[in-house]
Amino acid sequence: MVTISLGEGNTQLPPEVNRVPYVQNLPFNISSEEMYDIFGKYGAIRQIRIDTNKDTRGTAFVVYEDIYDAKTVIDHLSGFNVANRYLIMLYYQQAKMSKMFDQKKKEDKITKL
Amino acid sequence: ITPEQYNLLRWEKDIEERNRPLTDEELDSMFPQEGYKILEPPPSYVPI
Repeated sequence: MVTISLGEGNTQLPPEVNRVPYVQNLPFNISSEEMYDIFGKYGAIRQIRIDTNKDTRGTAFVVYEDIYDAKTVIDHLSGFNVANRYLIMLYYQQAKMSKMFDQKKKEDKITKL
Repeated sequence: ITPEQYNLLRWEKDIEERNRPLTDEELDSMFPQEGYKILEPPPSYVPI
């Protein structure tokens, strides 16, 4: 007999749901403690990548270990107020993102000509 | 095995696949090369 244990929150997940919320509108010099404090409450964090230059400013990738934690944080933290800025929380879409970066490279090349 | 159980099995495999641990190399390949750096967790951070 096949026994299947249903984990908590086991609804069918749409394809765009993944473990990497892409956060925008963060305060510029937010500290690691603050980042891990805000995002760590929702689940174990695999890694956080934070912006280093002006065109990626105020954005970060927060990689969670578990896909349901990522889903919960996006549902809960969208529009959360940090230092009177409202967080924008999206699922990181690599394809769209790399297209955007390629465009920037092309623009830089053109301006250098 | 009933169709309903079959669906559950298929769904569980899908979740397992989407939840498999990520290696550092995979993480590096996922994100743009420049513009981002890894933020070190504070010493007090303990994953829940």
